[in-house]
Amino acid sequence: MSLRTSEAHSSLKALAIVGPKSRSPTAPIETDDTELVEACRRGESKAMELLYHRYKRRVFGLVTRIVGSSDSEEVVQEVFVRIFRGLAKFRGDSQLSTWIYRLAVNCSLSHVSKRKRRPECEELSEHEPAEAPPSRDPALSKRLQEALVTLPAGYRAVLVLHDIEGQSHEQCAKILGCRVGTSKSQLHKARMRMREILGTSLRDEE
Amino acid sequence: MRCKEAQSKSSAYLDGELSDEQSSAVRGHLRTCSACESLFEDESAFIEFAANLEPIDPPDQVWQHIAKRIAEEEIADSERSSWRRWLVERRVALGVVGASVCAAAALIVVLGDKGSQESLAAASASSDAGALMPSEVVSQSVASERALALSEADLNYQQTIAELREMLEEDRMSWSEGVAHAVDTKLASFRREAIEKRFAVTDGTVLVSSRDPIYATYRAEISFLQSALAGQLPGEEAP
Repeated sequence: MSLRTSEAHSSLKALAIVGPKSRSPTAPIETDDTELVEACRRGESKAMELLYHRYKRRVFGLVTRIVGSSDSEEVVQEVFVRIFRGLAKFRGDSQLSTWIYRLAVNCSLSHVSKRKRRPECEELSEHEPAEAPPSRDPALSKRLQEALVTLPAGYRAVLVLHDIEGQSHEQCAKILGCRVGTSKSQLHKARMRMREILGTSLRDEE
Repeated sequence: MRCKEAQSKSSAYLDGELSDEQSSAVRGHLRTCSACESLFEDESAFIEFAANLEPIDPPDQVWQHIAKRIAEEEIADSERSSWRRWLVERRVALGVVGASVCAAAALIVVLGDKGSQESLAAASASSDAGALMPSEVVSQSVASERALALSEADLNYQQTIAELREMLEEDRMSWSEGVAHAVDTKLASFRREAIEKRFAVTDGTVLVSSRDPIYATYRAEISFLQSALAGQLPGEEAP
């Protein structure tokens, strides 16, 4: 039975309700990290540089979005120095990427916490111009970065890990050292805050 | 379903974590509530935007800075005191080292430098509970020498603990919140226990064995710190 045009249009509009987002994990599959780790432990500089290039984007993106652009280089250096100095203690119980993310998150949160304790730099991140990373839409990216720095650091971490870095809640829980349920509830609260701050601006741009 | 319930499920719904039945109920609510539908669309737009942000490359010079800092750290390693380097090497290669062996090594190095054979003997004995003299009352002159050696032993235990704590602190960044909490709790309990035992012992006592409980606490803490440095951390999930 054929529907009249207006009925068909009405029927299709009714079906077009917002639905779950399908997304594929962004993290590449780890293939030969074990050999790379062994070579780094032996102090092979080529291997260390290779490991750096393999993880630099993930670490730099994560750190930049948690601590802000102005301090990100300093924190990233600290993260990689700790990675190379700490590889001897990496026992392979978790994925190397999870271990690296954990170090990066802990260094970033520690940096934010220390910065807040310095009176001359109090709430620096909220007042500094939120320099947006290069993006296909720099204005929106800047708004997102500005909104991010107003979130409590813990919310920021889970939101960046899950929504930007594409980590699952199970991985977020391992990285943040919390329960999966806590990761989910923190993410929900973080998104609510982002929604309040950004309003309809992201939807309007589509 | 009411608005409050629907909104509380927005993230789970958009992440596809709800059951078919729950998802259907949420969708049903959105069909009849434009306010909630609008909120869901905002959240959905945010998720999509966040997922498609372009990766950021660090500036080119970052690797050079990292390589330089690693080189500096390695030079600092070579300049560390020999017993500290010995500890670092063993924490990686061998794991746990016996607490009494470590404490004795520390005491021998420090006291040995002072060239006092009597102090060395007394302090070495105090580092090993098995070699301690029983509750023996010694003569006053010997007792004063021994009390001096014991106070040095106290200081050396505490110095060893302070250095091990400092080394462990360098590892903190790689711990989960649970591990950090468990380590802090354990260290706080050692500190509390040592303080309580110090209060219970009269300073300058002539009873050598009366400080045994304090040294037992120091040795237990050293053992714990060494295990933690070797990667055996409390509060860690089983692999």
